[in-house]
Amino acid sequence: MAKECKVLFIHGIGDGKADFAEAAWKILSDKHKAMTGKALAPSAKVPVRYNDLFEDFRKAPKDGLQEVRPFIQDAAVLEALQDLQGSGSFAYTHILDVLLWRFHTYARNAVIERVASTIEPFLPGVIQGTTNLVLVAHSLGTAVLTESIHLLAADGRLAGCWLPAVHMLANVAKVLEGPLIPAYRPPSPSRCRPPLATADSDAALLHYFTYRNLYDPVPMVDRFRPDWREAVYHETTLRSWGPKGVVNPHDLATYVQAPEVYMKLLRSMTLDFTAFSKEREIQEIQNATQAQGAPTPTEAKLREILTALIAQYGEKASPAAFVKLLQALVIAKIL
Amino acid sequence: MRHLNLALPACILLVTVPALAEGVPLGPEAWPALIDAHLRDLDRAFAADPGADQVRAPYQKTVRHLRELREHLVVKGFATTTASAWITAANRTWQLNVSPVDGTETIFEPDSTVLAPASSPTIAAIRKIRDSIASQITVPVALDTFKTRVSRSSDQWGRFYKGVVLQEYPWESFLNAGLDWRRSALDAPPDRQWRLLHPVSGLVAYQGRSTTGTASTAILGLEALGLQWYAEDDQRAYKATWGLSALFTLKGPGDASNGYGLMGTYRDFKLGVKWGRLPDGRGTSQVILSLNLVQYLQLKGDQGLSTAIANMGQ
Repeated sequence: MAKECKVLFIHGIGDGKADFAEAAWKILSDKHKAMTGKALAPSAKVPVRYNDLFEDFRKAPKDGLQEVRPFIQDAAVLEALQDLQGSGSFAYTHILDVLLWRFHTYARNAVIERVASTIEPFLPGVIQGTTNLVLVAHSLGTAVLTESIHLLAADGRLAGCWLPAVHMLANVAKVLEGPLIPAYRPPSPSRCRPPLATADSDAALLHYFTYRNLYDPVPMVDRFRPDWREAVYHETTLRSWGPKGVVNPHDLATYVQAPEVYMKLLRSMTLDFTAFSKEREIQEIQNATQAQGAPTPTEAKLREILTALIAQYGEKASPAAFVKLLQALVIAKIL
Repeated sequence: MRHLNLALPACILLVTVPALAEGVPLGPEAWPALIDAHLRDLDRAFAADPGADQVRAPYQKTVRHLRELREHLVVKGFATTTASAWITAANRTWQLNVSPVDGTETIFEPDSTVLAPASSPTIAAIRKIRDSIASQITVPVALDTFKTRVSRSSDQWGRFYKGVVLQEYPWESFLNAGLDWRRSALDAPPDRQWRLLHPVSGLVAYQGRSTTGTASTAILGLEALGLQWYAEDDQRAYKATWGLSALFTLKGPGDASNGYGLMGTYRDFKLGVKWGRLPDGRGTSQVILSLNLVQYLQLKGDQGLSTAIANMGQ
């Protein structure tokens, strides 16, 4: 019996718009159509949002300010308060989101529970073997998903079943790991892991896919590199710049449009190993490389800087490498 | 447990094993006999398998898991929490897994017992047994466990976040969350929170000594440090119950100094007592009411309070 596929997308930092997964889904659907002649069923896509919890925090406390406002005579102060509650600046969204996730126990727990309870309705299908549940997380979403799966497993809500696969794009589960549950550090790592050994009854996943763009500074702070078994842990390194003229190595769509990513995702979603074979993946990578063409001046400049940096630091990740890469992005006027 | 109620006599096992796999759940009393029938079928298939040597490992593993399951059911009995938890855990043993890498079908992960070759009678028997064990025993028990667990959790943290955290000022919220950093999403939310430099407004409802003779003055203060308790109401929303804070108020008209006192909270209402000095140097005490308490008391017909509310901030 064919399994019904459900793909849950968990968004990254400050990317909680209702249609955040649309661009990535379009890429997957177009590729699927090109290779099989059929588009993906739109009902398979399930965007999982938690950003509204952070947005509510930025607007809080409404009641308290309402109470104090009549006493504030200074128009500038009132305006500043108004701005503070409605601010959409990078510092006030992305940075506060990270601070809330990393240091605010209650916001963190509310986010973990939100994502866990969104996954929950699909679990009976996984338990019965009728649903192929594919979890795709990006950036901050990878840290959130790690904790949410741990919660579902530790709370017994997985009811003893294995989750088939997670796909972590721009994996920051290590960078933003919480104080209680390390992403993979022994002796008690997160249960969001594939079986570490033959007797690993705590593992919640069968397969763990992680993708890192070599030019993406975010996962570089503290790279995700567990010593898990190759049979169940699949790490892919990309060299992807994003669409022509829109250089954003961290973007969700930049990751998904890489053949190394969309082919693995489509395999995982459809369990069709003929249309999305490994041979086809190699061919798609070759095609994408040829289609890349000559880089724009900005891309060329950035590549030069990054290539030098990567040569200097090699595969080692460190805060210093992150700072230098960030500097390079600022110099290239990308950030 | 649902399965005990559905139990049917074990004699129903006279029907064939494939038919069992497709039929209605038998119930726990029939499970040991069902497993025995599967063990016999598997032995027969293995004995008749021309490529038996190739599939010896999955055969042996299936036998071991079946015996383990049977022993658990017979020795411990199903009607125990331990047995139910054990079968729920065993659910993954009997889960059919399709590798998203190459499509290989396996059971008994993480050992990766491959269900191949498809032509093998032993493998065919293992597949049928797997389907039967999953549909008759492990999946129904796992689904029961799942429903129990889910009904216990119900986004309690989301309700706490909305009802408590979002009502705090950011510095209070970060303080409370920081002090409580060991609380995981598996734990229940706390029932109390610190108050720190929490702005409050209110009206002076009573003044012990006054130079101006004006009661009902609007004042702005701070709950400097205090504790607030919370509980879930009938709709499972988090609401403030009791609280007590040290109160600090700014010097107002007719005061010679800032004020200090205590403020108590009951649900949405606040009542405070503060002490300060008048311009002539005498000490004075005041009773302060929160605006909603004042509005509540307005029902008593105090027009002076109504006027003060209307004039606030002007």
